[in-house]
Amino acid sequence: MDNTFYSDVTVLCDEEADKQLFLRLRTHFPELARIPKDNIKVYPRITESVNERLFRLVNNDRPDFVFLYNQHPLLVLELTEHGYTGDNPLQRFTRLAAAAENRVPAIYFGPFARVRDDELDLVDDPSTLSRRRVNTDLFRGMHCLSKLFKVPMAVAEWVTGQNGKPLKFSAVSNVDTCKRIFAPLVSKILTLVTYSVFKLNNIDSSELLPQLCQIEEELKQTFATSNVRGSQTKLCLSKANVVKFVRNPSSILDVITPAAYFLHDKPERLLSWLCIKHTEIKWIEGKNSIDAVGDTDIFNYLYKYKPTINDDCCFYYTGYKWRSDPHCGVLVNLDYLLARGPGETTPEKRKRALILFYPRVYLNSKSGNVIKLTAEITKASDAGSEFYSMFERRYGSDPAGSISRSFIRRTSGHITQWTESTKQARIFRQYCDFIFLADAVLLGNHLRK
Amino acid sequence: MSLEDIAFNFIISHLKAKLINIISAHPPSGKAYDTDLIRLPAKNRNSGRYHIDVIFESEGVLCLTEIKGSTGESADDIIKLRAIVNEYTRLELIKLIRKRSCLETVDWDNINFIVPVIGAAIGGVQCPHDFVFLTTGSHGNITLEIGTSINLEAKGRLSKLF
Repeated sequence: MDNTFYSDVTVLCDEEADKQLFLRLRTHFPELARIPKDNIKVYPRITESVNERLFRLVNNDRPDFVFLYNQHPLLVLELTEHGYTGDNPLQRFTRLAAAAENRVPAIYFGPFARVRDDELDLVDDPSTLSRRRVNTDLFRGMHCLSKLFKVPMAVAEWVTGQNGKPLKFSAVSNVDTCKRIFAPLVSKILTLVTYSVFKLNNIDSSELLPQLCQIEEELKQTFATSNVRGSQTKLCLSKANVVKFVRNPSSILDVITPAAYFLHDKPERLLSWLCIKHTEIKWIEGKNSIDAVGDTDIFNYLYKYKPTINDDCCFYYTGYKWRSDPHCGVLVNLDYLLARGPGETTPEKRKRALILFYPRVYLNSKSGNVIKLTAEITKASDAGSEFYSMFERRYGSDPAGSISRSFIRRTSGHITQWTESTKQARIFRQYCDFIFLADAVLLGNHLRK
Repeated sequence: MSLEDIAFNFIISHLKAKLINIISAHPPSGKAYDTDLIRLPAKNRNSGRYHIDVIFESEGVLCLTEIKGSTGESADDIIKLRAIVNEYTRLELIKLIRKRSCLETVDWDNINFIVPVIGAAIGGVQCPHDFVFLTTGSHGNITLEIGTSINLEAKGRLSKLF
């Protein structure tokens, strides 16, 4: 097959800035100029009826770029200048997973290690700063996706300058330097676009094998040395602890302990701790309805839906307020790293149960424990209240009052009602088996069928 | 496209056409592939950072620019830019920005003036004495207004650019 297929390739860009970037790359790399200029466009909101295959890639989260060939998705490209340790880099994982699940190759382009902006304040010479490596679980997760769905997943490094920040177009004074920044990315774009077009047309792609092997090798190198320490919130929960948790969610405080977790870091952790203490399951979802728990044994009830809940389970606790990033990506990454086994390409096929615990979210504002919890949060600065005593325990009696007052004043969305139409609800429903809220247990989509 | 987008695009196009050093440019969408994203620490606050929409330099004049749809909406940005130029000395600001920039073409040691600028699509408000206003209109014909207390030499150099 010759290169004429490029005239049928379209590049969909998330925003105008993405489009301008691609047009600029096109002027430096003649191979990209084979894609007609008019085929590079900002994509509108995609509905299922417009293009079902594309819809599945962009429905939960819009990738920066999607390459199409006659309406068939060929490649997803994520491009970011951010990338630090911790959960933030994982927020893009949902888009990479959506690509792999639909057998579309994907590329992640970003700095693999860079300095943080605030750290530049601390030194005169930025070259003395140590660079923060991107959480290697991102890359390890991409490799899992690649193996499970038998689709290439690629990484390309955005090179950084002496100050540890990614080099931009304006920083480079000649075409050669520009090529140095973007050539590794462009080479992978060309390989994977060609690979996908060959596959779509049932053409033997063995001539691309050396490049594809190189792509996999480079990906493996990125996580050869892990920079992830054991997590206190992403766990493989033992069978005994699963049973205890399901019957009494507050018992998770024996596993994620206040001393080791909730009495550290930001005061938001105290709020989550309070929410966990007040969690009481009042509602439980079935195939067709959500009913009051009454005398139902929750464990036995959930066992009927997923018998492997009577085993070690994959468990994710999130203390974030009601929002989508980064914890949707964290959950999906955890699913592929810890919960999925060989051949388990869907949550339905997944043997190990995946449980999410989100204690700052409730289903029904009239649930007794939620009413009590809401009232308790407003007493954060009342000496003697349960919440205030947590601030005292964390900060000592002297600053507790000012810290709790400031916390309540400057933060919002302390606890929030579950809303089905949000991105986070869609993603959690899509990947989890069971979602534990402050007052309810919800089922993953596959268990509601 | 919002008026702010329009003003941003016209000003950036003009700077590029004149080959002026664009050190930082935060488009309203937030994605900046062309230039470094430069955030400055707030010196007189415990936390927080200053984001400046566009920073450019030409002939030793460093311009800190906030972009708005109309100059009438710029009261908060005027306060912010004044805070920045008052909190830091010229040399301190240059050092902070230089550390955050990968731009090779700026002669950092010869920046003599720092000027706060408001860029907007629509004018109508009088330019404060210590500011410069760039008004793009709807066709990108940039009008320059220079406050009365801007240094004469800086004024002369800026007048050549717009």
